[in-house]
Amino acid sequence: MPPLLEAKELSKHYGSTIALDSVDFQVVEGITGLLGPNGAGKSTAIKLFLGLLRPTSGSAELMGQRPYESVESRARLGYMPEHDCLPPAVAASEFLTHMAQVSGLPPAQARTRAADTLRHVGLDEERYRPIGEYSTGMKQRAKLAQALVHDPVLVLLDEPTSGLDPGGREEMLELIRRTGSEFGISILLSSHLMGDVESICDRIIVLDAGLVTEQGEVSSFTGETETIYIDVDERRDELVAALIDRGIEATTDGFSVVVQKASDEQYDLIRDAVVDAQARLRRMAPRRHGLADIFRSNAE
Amino acid sequence: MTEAQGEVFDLGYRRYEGPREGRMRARKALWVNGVRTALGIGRPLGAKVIPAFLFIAVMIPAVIVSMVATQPNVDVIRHDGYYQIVSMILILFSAIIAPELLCPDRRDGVISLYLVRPMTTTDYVAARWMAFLTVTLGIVLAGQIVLFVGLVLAATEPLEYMKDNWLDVPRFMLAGLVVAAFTTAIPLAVSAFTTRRAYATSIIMGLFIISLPVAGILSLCGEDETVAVQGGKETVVTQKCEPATGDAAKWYALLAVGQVPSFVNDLIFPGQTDEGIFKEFSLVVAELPDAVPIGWYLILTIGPGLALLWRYRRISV
Amino acid sequence: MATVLRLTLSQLGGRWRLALILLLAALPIGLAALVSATLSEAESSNEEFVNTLLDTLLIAGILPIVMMVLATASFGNEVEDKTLSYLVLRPLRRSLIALPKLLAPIIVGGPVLVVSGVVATLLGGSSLGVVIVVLHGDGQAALAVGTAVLAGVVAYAAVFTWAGLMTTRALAFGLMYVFIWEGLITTFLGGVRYLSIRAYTLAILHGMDKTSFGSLEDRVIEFPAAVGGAIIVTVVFFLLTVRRLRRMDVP
Repeated sequence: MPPLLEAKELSKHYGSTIALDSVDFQVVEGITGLLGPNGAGKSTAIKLFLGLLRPTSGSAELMGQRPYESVESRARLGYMPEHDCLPPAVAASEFLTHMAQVSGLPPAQARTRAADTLRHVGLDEERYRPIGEYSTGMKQRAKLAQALVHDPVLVLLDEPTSGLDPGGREEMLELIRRTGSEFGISILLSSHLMGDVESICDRIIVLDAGLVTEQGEVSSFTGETETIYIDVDERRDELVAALIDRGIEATTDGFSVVVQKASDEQYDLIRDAVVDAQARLRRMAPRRHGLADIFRSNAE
Repeated sequence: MTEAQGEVFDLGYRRYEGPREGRMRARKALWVNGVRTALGIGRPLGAKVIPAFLFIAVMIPAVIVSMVATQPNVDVIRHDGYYQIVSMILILFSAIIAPELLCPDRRDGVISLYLVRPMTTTDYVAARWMAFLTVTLGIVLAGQIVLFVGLVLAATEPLEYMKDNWLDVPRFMLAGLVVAAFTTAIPLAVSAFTTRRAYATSIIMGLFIISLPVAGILSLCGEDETVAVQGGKETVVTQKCEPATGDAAKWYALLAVGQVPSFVNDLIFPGQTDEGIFKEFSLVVAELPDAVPIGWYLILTIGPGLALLWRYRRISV
Repeated sequence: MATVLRLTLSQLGGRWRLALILLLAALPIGLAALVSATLSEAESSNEEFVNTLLDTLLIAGILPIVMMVLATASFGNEVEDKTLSYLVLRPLRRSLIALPKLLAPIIVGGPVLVVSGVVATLLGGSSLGVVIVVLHGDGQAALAVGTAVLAGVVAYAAVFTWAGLMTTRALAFGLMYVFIWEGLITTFLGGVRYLSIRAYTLAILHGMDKTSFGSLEDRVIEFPAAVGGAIIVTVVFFLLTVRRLRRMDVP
């Protein structure tokens, strides 16, 4: 079985501007994040896979086919653009029913799917209201709903959290995570926000200035890099000494004692060290390394 | 112990296992959606007012004629002259409604959702074209049918009238198609070049409205009676009038873009029509070989159709 | 007020829009030149010229279309972009917002249309060119055309500026008013002429130069009624615009 999406030496030039420069990557089942700053070529890559653009050279394949040549290959594909794409005068249920039919579903099934999908994205109550009256968060959910209404195998989401406030962003990410894990729909999601990708993606592809700079499992970047922060009321220096006695590298960071790259068995040793040092433990918390830390350390 | 009655509804996500009908379904859905948009169905009240009003305006001549046809010795409009009577309102309808089918899709960005679905740009354009053709054809035929029923009922011998005039029915069907295709082609092509409905409407109206008097000045002349000054005395001279462009006038009459389907209409109905506000153009154009108005009509219908396709092939979303 | 006027003028004076307006306005002049060049004096029919070129083309066609496009866009851009509240929230009297919005389409469209009508009249009135016509005293006809067109410009501007503020579909309603009400219904019901800007324009034209435009005799209302009508329409629709600005909800 071919990968869902495959870029082979894919290039796209706009005049003298190079949006993508001979990139190679694959997207397989699960949630994949396409990460990069604005102008890195994320939207261009997505549009190439959708068949909205044609590559300058190389190929962008969708389940083994070229999307701009094969109309049928797009039947199980969903797309949520970054820009506005909803007609303001029409009610969401009517619009989704229509879009499901345009994807090939017969009218009766289209209506059922529209209602189901709107319930999944949490727009059950508002589905008969014109979309123009929706808030930004509701519009964003309606945009996601139209991408899911025909039950695609794969959806491409272009900056799905853009324009949302922190609360709305969390809700949207949770919805995307559920779509991927519970509904079993594979997702390629582009974002310029590290946090989005980190919290929900299985794999990431990092684009910068038209080139793939990193790719792989999110866990391979963030795994085994746990840092433990230990806060004690007093006897901090004694605690550090006790930890070093036990062969644990410990440093201080402000009021906290920091243990880098802690493994499971070290938790017991840390507990013993706290007892030995007679330190009054106030807080002990692990913190996984974020992607941001990794890229910052790579850059240094 | 009784067994619990009822079912547990699983509200979790369900995969869709039903039929997927591909491009044919997509085309059909776009066509239906286009017809509904044009008529304002499923939209707020404001969107229904304009199509309803224009529809009534197109029907009025047919209804009035049907009513006065019962009066003896009243010269009524017949099927051959009907399209010319309603042509201005039809053009107004097309100029206002046609942009509705194309402009908002591009302005609101819906077009990018369509183009990633299992259909092509050509499918989209063709479906919208057919949708608007359906609406305009429906309107012009509705008027003709009301007129036909009215004339049959008003006739002293209804059956006799039908026997003598049944040929009018296929004729007005064909002529209706000619008119509807024309009022679909140019307005939709103009709408493809702007996202603002207001601009599209003004350009279409400008083209149709302004071309009429321009063609009139170039190809027609006024009264046959002219006041000529001869030796200080004013005398009324009746002379063969001479349009500004002389012998070429019959060609300049073709510039009356809005009347081009009427020229074809005149060829479909035998005998010269003498009804209608723009009959002078028809009389002048009748001097040309039949192939000229037909060819001009085809150019003005197929040309904009191709321009529309060309434009959408190059669209970037 | 000067700022609002300047902004509106720059919105209305887009390159494409100006080019189209100039093209439309050049049409009557070009046709008048053509007609006067091809026809000898004896053949030229004054009546035909007045009916077709001035009435059908300029007064019933180009004048309302140009003014509709300009005046509905006067508030139209703010309504479309939802930026009207910024304008309304400025510490200005509402009438000082409405006035520049009314003046802008008049400033852009007025001179072009008046010049178009006057030059076309001068050319069309004779086969021998502008200078001789003026010497022959046809300046009266040109003055009548200029005044009548200007009256039409101002009245249409007032109505369509108001319509552009009321609805986003102002152009559609405007077209229906111009072509169905003024164009069609007037031919059946004469009384409608008292409520038609086109009829005011024609009546002013006729009233100011009865010798040149005598052929309009059967179709015009009384001169004072036309002048009064044009003034009333302008004032009433301007006040309606101010009222709407006062009463609207600021989102």
